[in-house]
Amino acid sequence: MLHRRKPDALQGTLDLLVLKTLSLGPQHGYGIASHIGSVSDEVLRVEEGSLYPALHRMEHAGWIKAEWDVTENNRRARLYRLTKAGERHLEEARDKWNRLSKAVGKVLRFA
Amino acid sequence: MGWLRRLRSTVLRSRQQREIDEELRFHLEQRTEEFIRAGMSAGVARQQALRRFGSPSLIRERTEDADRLGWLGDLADDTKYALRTMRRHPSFTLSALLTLALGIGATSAVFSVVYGVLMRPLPYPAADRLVRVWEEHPGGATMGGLRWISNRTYWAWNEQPRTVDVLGAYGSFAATIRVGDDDVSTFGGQVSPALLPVLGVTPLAGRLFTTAEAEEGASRVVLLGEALWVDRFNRDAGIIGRSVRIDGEAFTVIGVLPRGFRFPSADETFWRPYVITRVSTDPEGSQRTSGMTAMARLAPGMTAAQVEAEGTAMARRVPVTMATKALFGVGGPPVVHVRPLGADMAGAVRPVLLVLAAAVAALLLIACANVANMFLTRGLARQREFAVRASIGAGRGRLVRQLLTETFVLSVGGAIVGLFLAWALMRVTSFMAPLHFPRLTDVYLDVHALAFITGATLMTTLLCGLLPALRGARFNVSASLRQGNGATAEGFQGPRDRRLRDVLLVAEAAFALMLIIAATLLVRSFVRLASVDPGYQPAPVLTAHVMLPPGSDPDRDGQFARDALSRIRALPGVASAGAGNMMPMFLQHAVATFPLPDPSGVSPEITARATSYTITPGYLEALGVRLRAGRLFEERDEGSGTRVMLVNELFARRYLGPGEVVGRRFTNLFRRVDRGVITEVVGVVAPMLKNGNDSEPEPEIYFVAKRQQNRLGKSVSFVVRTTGAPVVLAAPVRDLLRDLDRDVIIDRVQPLTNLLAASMAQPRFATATVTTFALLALILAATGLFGVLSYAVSQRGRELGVRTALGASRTSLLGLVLREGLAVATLGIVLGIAGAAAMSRLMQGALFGVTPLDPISFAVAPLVLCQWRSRPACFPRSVRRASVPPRRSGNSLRAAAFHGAERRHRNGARRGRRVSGRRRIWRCSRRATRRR
Repeated sequence: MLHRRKPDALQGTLDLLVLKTLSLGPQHGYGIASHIGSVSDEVLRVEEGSLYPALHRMEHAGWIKAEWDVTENNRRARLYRLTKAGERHLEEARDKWNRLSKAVGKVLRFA
Repeated sequence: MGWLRRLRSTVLRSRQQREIDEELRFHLEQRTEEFIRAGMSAGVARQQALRRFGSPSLIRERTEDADRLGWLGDLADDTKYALRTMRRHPSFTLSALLTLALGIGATSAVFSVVYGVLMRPLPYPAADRLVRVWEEHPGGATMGGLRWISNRTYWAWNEQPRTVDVLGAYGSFAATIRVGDDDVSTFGGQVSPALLPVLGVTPLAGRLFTTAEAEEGASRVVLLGEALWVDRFNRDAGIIGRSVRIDGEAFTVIGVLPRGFRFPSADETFWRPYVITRVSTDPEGSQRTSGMTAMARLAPGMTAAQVEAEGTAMARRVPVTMATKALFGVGGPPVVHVRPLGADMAGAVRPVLLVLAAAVAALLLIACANVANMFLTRGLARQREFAVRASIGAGRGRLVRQLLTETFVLSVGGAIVGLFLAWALMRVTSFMAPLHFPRLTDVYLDVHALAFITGATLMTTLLCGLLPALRGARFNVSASLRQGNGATAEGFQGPRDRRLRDVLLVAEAAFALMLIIAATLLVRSFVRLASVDPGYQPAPVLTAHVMLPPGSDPDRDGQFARDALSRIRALPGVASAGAGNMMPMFLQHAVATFPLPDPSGVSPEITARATSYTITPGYLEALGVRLRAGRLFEERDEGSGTRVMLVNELFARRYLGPGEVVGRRFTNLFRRVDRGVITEVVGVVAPMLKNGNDSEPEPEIYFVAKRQQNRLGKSVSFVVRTTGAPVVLAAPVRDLLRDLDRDVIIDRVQPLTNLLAASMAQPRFATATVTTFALLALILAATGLFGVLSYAVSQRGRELGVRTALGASRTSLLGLVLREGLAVATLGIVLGIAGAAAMSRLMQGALFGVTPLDPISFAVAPLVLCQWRSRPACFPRSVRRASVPPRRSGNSLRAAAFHGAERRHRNGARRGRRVSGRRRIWRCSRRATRRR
């Protein structure tokens, strides 16, 4: 019922993927989920139950900005776009992820 | 900005919900279309999309939470829920609300009074640097306990003051102003010209006093207050320069002071300069020494101690004359004291106000305990609700927060009603408060009061809500969710809960007892005060105070008094009449000091000091002063060559020693004026308490008014003993005096009992207020105990029923319940007595003739408490309960109850009580059904 901010690795990863998706251009929630799914060959399926809370959370953190707009099909949708702060956060998150994956790789390669 | 938007989302919930709904709907539609394009049918596509998506309501809630300010949203939810719950239980809500409103309202009103009188800075600039200054000769006492500085000290100090930058005198006096043909009785202020700028007042019109106008012989000038100018002089635009008759003398108006200016109290309507008599060069200049009430402003950087030091030095430079001894008594070298002006003005009522504050605090605590108990017992009914909430994930903290919010909403409601109550109470107070209550105009509801109310609300929330909330949020979830009330009843009524409830009840009883003790003490004190023998008989006596016009021939004045008396005595219904220069409750003092041979023989001479009355024959008879030896004045004394004198017992004992007093003669008693005059004591009377019932008797001497010596003077008081009610003669006496001399100023004509009652107004006010609080506390505590115990008894219905079935008689059940109630009451009484004893020092200043640890009060109060509380609470309820047949919850209940009732019915039938038995069955089964 109550949501406490429990920063965990999984949540951070979702943030990273969303920010990266948005760095390619403004997009609505469905589009973000589709993009991540298609680019990763359906390996990463976004848990849609967490997507929207995460999007709203990131919006309030100031990393993304949202506004209502009309899509090509003349439908009203809420489009998110990346902010400057979001870009900075994206860089940091990406670096962190790289460090993490390198470290995991090192441990795995150790004979 | 995100913060702001989240706030908006919290507040505008429905809008936020709609937006999220739309967003999620869009997503679902897209997903459905994707599946349709992949080949599924519309229905299946939608189903799959939903499955992939998850529960929309859950996601929506999570999104909402992410959007909102968590705690604020919860608070809003809780508040709405609390309001709904309150509406569902109107009687509970109403009684809790009224209880809290009473507690908070009364406390706020008393706080405003206490703050306004004791704590608010005086309405003058730099009020914290204004101090009262007075002189004391250690060992000697001033007449009437007044605190003065002598004019000699003043002039010595005012030459080169270093520690103060302004030193001046002030005072208040009763006066009459002639408006048209009427004499209006009012109060006027006297103030040194230098003080007016210090008090920060600028005139509405005209100017302030100059220092020259405070010199003797200067032209008489007066400053009018705006209220007087508007009410009595019709805003006369030409008021400046007009002449006004005050006490028969002409004064020129030189200015008008604005309505907000009040000095030294709220009663003065005009001001004249304080003329401080200059010291004559004659070293024994007795008629040139006077006392005055003085205040000063501290020079920058100076402290009160420095002022005291400088003042003491100045006072010691001045020679001690007979007149000084008359003022200050015979004592050691003078010491000057300094006290902040604000505290000084409120000094007399401070102890009373502190008692009032303690009393109302106790009332508030009792109210809180009551409401806390109500919440505790109500928590029982909500066990299941909490269990459900806990089972779907509410944490304990969340539940506690919700319960606290409910208490908070109730407190806020109580505070709002209490605010109105406080406002009403304060209107009543200012209406009913005794005259001359200091600084009453500084009492009003302002931001301090509001801050206090807010604090009180928060405190009551915590007091009432915390314990029940913590207790309510802790329970056995599974047990509570189980069917049937039996388990829950046990779960809540565990020993811990009972102890908590008992603690609250004991606290209530203790505080109520403390209040009752305080009220009893005050009542006894007031009764003592009222039954003091004042040395005269106030009823039925009519008094009339008259000011003779100035500049008139003294012989004519004397004749006036004599003619007036003979006419008054001729009126029907007059038993005796007399006149004097003073009368009881009269605020002026006339003191005579003269040397007498020391009766103990230790020194050749002692200085006798006494209040000196000049009276006509008939005065003492009219007042009913008792004669102890010798005789009272007679007509022939007025013409005799000897100066005849009456003394009171105190004077005789102190200054005339053992032996026969009547017939004693002194030659040249008043050394400075007597030339061979013989003074003879012709009688001894009982002492009179001229300054009110709470004053000490003082030595008094009486001289008969004569044509040449000892004139009555300009201020004459007539006292008339009537056979009927004094008020009846008020108009005739007034007309008579007016007829006799048109120019004479008739001040107040009223029965002496009025004056006496007015002098006791403050203790009466305090007693009435505290007694009211005590009664309210008693009612609150009694209803609290009643409610809780009766509910507890009803909870124990099952147990009582079983006991009845096992053969317990009604009386033994009664005894069982009573015993528990009495245990609480007894512990409360013990604690209350201890608490009252601890607070005895607080009561000290407010009592008269009764010690704070007065045993009678301490004994009576618990009886009152017991009488009120235990019996009504325990008795009726338990009787009713015990007479209900045994019942248990559950389906078999009805059968069991029916059987039980059947048995009683059969028994009852044998005794011819058929009908009542049947009715009881019906009530019992209905109750059984309702319980579920």
